[in-house]
Amino acid sequence: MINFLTYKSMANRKFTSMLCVLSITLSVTLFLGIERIRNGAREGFTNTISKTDLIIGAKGGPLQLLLYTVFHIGGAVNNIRMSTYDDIKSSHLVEWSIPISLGDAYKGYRVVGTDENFYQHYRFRGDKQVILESGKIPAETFDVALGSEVAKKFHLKIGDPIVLSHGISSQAILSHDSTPFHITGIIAPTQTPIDTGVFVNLYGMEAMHFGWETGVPDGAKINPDRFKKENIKITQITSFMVKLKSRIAVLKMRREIDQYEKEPVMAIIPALALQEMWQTIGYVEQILFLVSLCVLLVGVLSILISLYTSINERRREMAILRSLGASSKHVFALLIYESSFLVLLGCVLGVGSLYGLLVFVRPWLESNFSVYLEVQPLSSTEWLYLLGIFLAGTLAGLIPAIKAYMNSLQDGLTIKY
Amino acid sequence: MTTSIDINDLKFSYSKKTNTPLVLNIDKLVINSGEKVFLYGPSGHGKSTLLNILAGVLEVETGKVEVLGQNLHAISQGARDHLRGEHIGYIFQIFNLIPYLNIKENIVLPCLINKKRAAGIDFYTQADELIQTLGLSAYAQNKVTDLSIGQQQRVAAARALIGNPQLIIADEPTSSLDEKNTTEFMNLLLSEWEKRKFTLVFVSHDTHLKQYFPRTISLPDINKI
Repeated sequence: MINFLTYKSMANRKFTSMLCVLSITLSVTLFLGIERIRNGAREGFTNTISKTDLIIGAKGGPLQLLLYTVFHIGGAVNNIRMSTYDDIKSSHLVEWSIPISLGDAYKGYRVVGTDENFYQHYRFRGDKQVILESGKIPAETFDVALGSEVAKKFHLKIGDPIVLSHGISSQAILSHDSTPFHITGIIAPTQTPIDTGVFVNLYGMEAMHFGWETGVPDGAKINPDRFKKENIKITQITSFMVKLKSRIAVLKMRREIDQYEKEPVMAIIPALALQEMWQTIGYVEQILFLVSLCVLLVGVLSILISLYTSINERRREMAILRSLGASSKHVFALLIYESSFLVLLGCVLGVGSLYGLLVFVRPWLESNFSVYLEVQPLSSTEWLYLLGIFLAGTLAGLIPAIKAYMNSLQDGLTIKY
Repeated sequence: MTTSIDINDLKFSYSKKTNTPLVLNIDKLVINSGEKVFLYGPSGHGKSTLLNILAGVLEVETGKVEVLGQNLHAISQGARDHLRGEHIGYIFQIFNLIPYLNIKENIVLPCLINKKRAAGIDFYTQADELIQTLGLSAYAQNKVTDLSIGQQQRVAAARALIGNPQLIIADEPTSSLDEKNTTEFMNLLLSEWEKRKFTLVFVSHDTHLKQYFPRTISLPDINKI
């Protein structure tokens, strides 16, 4: 009976009911959408690198080490000796290691010197691996693989020659004209800083600096034999990542590295460092959360407003229902039922439009903001949020319901207005 | 003969403070089952209050009010709501109908609210019969707002009659009707009374209408305030 009357009555007030549902729908979509983006951004950020247990570089700021090794932002004050790398990686605790050598750029994009371990072992977003979209990994001295964004931006393809510039400025004056590189591979999009990297091997990194020992090119002609891999001696790298055979050894290994006697080096735990870093920049997400909460509040208030304003118009209706045997409790239930129906409909439509929108904006978010969103079913937290919204909306109907209840007690069968 | 309404020493005021004036003070009022009664009630004589009490909406503090054999003072508000819903038909002066329901939905509404009102009958069939009897067949699926006031009051009468209640209280049902419609309405109501023999309490300030009734009770006379 109650639901029949509620349905008929709402159909009679189609426009206001629809506006009400619309405002709930929008606020649910916005709230859940912002939650998704918030989590996506955080996960995208903290999952920029996974599996790596330690990042090791010259002593300095931990944050700095994280930034230049993982995000290719800024630079190291000092490099570390190749011998140190060889020494540490040969420890029986180490499962694999990836060397990183920085210092140059291609049109503002950072050149990263590394070796095949990077393509084999580097992991991000759980267990995702660096995969070449086309070509092969840079094996020869002057081979280079491009991150997807770099390749796309400059319309580069396999076989194209590129000249790298010295230093990390985008307006570099000095370039490695005499040692052009050839593109051998293009890396598939990862939505991580890898997309903006230019990857060479350690030999190439070393070879392009031959004759630069004074900091500027000496102009002398270099014997091509020197560029052969077997003739190149790698002397230094910037930092390196290691995965240990056992997680338990991480703290011990870290302590050992921090006390390494032959060279001042330090180790950071990337997962922890990323968490810490997110906490310092994460206040933006808190603000977003608050804003979406406010929007939700407005949506819930719209139920209260629309029901409350309808009560006086419906006073006669309530008196008639009373005359037909409805109790004051019926009148109360009628309004609660209506508010919960409105908010339920709003939630359902909100979730629907969330998924619609998700499919629609996902590629755009990925390519522009590196926010990686998966179209996945509602999480338990989201179900809880929806339950909360439903309860809040139903509660918002409580005030008009109480008012209508009081009215019906006062009016009885006397029709007012 | 059983009584439908039996009032003894009813005293009623809207506040419990001792010096507030009484709205109702009725020593004795008895209406028998199956009786049709004209209750003359000009405004300002506690008419609405009395009707609210008889319908079980207002609670009686002093005195005894029995409706259809139930002592209203002794039963709960919920039980009074049930009594009204199951056994009493109520017709208002005007705008009796729920605007968002069609005619038939309005008529069967008491049976939807109270399952017991519909006990033992097919109320949809009865609704159709009533629509027929009251000459509303052409409008059954119409919106009630499309009806004239005369037609609306006939729908209200049909709704009061459905489920064969034992008591029908009509509160000035003709006050907004013209003479022709009033005559029509009275004839319909009274012919239904002939058929069904419910107790009819017809309340009006219009003394012309008492010609339809064998007994007239004047509220100003019995209410000693």
